[in-house]
Amino acid sequence: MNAWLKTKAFLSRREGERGQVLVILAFGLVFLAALVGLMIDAAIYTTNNLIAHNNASVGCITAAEAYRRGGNPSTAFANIMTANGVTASVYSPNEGSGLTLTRGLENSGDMSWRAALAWEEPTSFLSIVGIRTMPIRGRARCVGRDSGGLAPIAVRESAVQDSLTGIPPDEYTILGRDPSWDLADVESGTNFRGAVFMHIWCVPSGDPNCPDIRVFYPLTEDPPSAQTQKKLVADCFNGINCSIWPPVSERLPIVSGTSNNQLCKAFQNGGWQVGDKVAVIVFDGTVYSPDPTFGNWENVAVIGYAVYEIREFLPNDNTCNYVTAHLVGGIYHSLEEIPADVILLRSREISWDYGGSIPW
Amino acid sequence: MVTRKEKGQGLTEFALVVPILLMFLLFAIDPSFKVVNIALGKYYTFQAAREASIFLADGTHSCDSWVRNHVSEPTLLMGTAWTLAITPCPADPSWSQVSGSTVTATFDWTQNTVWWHGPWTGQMSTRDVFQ
Repeated sequence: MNAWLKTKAFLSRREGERGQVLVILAFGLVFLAALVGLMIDAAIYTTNNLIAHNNASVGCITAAEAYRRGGNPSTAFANIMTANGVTASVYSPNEGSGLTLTRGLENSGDMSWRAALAWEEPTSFLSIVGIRTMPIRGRARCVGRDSGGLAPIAVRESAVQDSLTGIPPDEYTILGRDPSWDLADVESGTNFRGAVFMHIWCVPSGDPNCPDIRVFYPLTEDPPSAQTQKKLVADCFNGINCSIWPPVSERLPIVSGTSNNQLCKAFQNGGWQVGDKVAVIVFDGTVYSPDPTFGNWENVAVIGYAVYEIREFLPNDNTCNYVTAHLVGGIYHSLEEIPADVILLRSREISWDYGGSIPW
Repeated sequence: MVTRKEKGQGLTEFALVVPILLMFLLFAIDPSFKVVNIALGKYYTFQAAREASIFLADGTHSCDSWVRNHVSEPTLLMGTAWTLAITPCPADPSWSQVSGSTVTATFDWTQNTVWWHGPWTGQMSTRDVFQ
């Protein structure tokens, strides 16, 4: 029997068997549609949950940062959500609170924040089997940086070395001129009050007149006015516009023309408290003579970094003139060597379910 | 009792149905790959924007190189090319950021397709705030 006869025989089967293939096909298609739908929609579900979490994390940290600077966290949160293409109904109004926050932004009161996003995502293939939407949830908990980074303070190397070998005093002034304690080794350091200006560097070269000056945002004046100088130092203490890390061998101008009280107040206003650890610059003890091409300022050379723990604001918290501190570690020679719990004090995401105090 | 005519009927029907079902399944591969790449792209831009937001200017590393050294590159499914743009985050080591301003990481990619007409392109972006 040739092929044509076989096909003819197959097609002329009994009446009751006709259409079986169509039935199988119909059932198979529905089954497979559901299977493929599940696959595609599972991918869409996973992707959207990831997007939701990423956006919640960005929103949380943005709000915490805005709050830290005295801004409006809700507005900052809404603005960054809009910038990331998140519609208002996804993050407001608030639903739930604390661990059960499912939508919105919440200040947890311990410098930590929670942000949660929620929406119903339409399904694609799954709608064939009657499932038309799937719930998308994203949430993040974060902490606003209170203070951190490298403070614009320089401590002389001999003081650090003495502390490392246990030579007293155990704690001493690192900011604000203290008549009983020399902040610099040499007489030229009489104007030095411990603060340096991080936004303008004298790049090392064979020429002592500093031909290569490097300036950083927001510095636009060269040399900057005294007012700009004071504001930038205050901002640095506050961790604003000061994401600068002067490397070893750079020379930085010292801050002069500013009272002990102004410096100490700026430091306090930056959120620094007794017990905080602060990363500072270590210099060799020499305050170099004014350099006409370097803003006409006295300056110090960076030889490393050290970490101090703040002990006291003297004579008292309200009328602060000096900041005393105790050496915790040093001398470090790069950012990578600084302990993470000191230098990584940045606004960042933390575990949603973390209980107890914030892990600094 | 199976008659002679009925012999092979199941196999024949199977042979007719399978190609259709298989085609249905195979056509879902490319959209699935695209969805996975969207997730990878989103996470990549999220990481890049976050790293840029905490950049520390040290005079040696630029913001751009800092970010690229600190994020792990995505392995795209059927991806042929991709670019990551971060603005503002230049390759200038003297640049430092404005606290509170927005940084945008944008990821563009091209992926080959198996069954659909291609190649396909995609773009994801994330905005964060400089610290």
